[in-house]
Amino acid sequence: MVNPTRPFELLVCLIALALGLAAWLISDTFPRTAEGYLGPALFPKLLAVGLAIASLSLLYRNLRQPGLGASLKLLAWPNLLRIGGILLALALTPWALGKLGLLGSAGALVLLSSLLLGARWLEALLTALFMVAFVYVVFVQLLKVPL
Amino acid sequence: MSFFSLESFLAMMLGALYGALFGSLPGLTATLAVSLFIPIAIFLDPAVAFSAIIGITATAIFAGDIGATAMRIPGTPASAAYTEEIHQIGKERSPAFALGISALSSALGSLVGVVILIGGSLGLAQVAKQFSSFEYFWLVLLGIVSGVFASPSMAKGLIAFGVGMLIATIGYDPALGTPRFNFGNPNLLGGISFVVALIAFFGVAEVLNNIYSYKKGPQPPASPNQNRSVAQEFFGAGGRLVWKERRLLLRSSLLGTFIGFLPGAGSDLAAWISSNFTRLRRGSKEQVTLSGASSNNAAVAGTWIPALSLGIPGDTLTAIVLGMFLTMGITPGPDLFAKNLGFVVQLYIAFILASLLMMPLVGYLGAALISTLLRIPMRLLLGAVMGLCLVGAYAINRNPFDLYLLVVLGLLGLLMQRGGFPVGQLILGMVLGPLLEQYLMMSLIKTQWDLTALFSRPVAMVLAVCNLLLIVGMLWLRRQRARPNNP
Repeated sequence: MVNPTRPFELLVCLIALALGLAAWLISDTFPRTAEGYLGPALFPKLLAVGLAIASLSLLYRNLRQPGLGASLKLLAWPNLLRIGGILLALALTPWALGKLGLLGSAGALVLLSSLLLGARWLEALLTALFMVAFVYVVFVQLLKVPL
Repeated sequence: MSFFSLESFLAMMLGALYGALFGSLPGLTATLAVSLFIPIAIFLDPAVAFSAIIGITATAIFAGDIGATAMRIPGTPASAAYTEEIHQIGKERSPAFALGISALSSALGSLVGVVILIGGSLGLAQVAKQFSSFEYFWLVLLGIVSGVFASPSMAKGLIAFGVGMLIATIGYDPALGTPRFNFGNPNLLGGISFVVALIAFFGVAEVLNNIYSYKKGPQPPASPNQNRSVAQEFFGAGGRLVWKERRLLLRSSLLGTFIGFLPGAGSDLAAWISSNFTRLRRGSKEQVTLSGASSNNAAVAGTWIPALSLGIPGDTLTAIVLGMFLTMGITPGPDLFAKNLGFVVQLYIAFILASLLMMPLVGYLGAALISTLLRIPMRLLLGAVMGLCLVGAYAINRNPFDLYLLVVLGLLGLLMQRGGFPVGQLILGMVLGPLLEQYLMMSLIKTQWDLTALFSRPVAMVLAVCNLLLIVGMLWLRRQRARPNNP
């Protein structure tokens, strides 16, 4: 049966396995206690074992089922590109903070996100302006949160 | 001045609105709300100042549900335990109904907590004093085990917990202070901010998930109940459900109060344990929301039990309030009852007023606001949510590095959501992981790494047996359900 969650399930299992493996290897470098016990490495190593067992069992179950190719075809590639665009914009925000400030950067992000979600230019612009005004009034003026 | 003056009542009302604003906005917490109020409070009459503080604490935790219902972003960590459920109820039926359940059960849960606070402050505090790292270890493990089994897939639940707990190991280790997994980056030395993770896993991931499901064309029609009046849904339907589930409400409130009075546990843990127990029993979305909301608000009153009777804060919030007590020349502890009985009684009554009046009022206003907000097209609302995520994540530490974390964790949240992994359990792992490690390491260090010591005390032994029974029972239950004649 074609299952649209399978590619994502597979990817998360691989990430969890990689994280577990990395945690095991990196925690080898942590200092041991004076008595020679694992100390700060103990808990990450326990987690690494748990993650490896759970992700390998799920990987095995996922790969044993037929129809992975068909599940991959169900991926919404244009929307994945949109998501890439939003994440790229968010990743550029620390750089934009220096140029536009937080309010300007937030406005730009709202504008871009709304456009990627299918909004028209004018309504996206109005939403961004409203958002900037809301953040300024509520966070800065009313709650005195330093931004 | 008395707690029953007009000034005190107004202070409580304004405090409740101020707390609700903080609680409902991602990135702003109840603790921050009280912290920012302290410089003003010290110049006020104690009765007015504490009325406002009670108003803030009563609504800030509940108001976390407003963000969770409207945008799937829990305003406070305590609401994260049942964000999925309350957001779904809001989407499928109406936000007014979702917030009606939450506000009314929060009010009643808080009332149960206050009654226990009044009736058993001193007695219950004696029980808490018996708990050491051994008992806490098993109690936290109980929270994790119930969380894993509450997930539809055990393997997915384990992965979500594992990833959450692993994320929480970044930074100084809680027992020995060794820096871990920071890769030489000073931004990671203090660990990953919990609020940033909340915003990423719930807020950013939700926006990305909506973009992934985006299809050109008209939006799906709203559910028929969206057109019913807010009052009908909030008080009528919400009230009927709360009345129907009164036993569950009482159980969850009692559990929440008990967890709340354990020092360091707090309302977040209370909500997680309570809602996970309801999930384990295959409770409906409404039941999970009701048990989580009543439990976390009961826990708020519970945290005041050790604070008032022993001078030991149950969480950060009560720690700040205790500081306020001392600044105003009031020493919490057994002597408080002897020397300031009148003040304590008025404090209790203020709690009852805040529970019965402020929560339903703020909840109703929140529901009315969301019902208006949801008339805005999703493409615009989600864009605005993205902006709010950015501001909320940055407002915590004003550190641009947190925005990179928002990207990475938001993407991970999206992948997990699309893959059917329970993101809530990941967040629970981030809360419980450091506690579990801390109590494990403390126990091992105290006993020269003797693991059998974890079973050496009677209460610890009982809690260990509870864990074992829960695992065996749940495995048996899953086996029974997996049989072909048992769909």
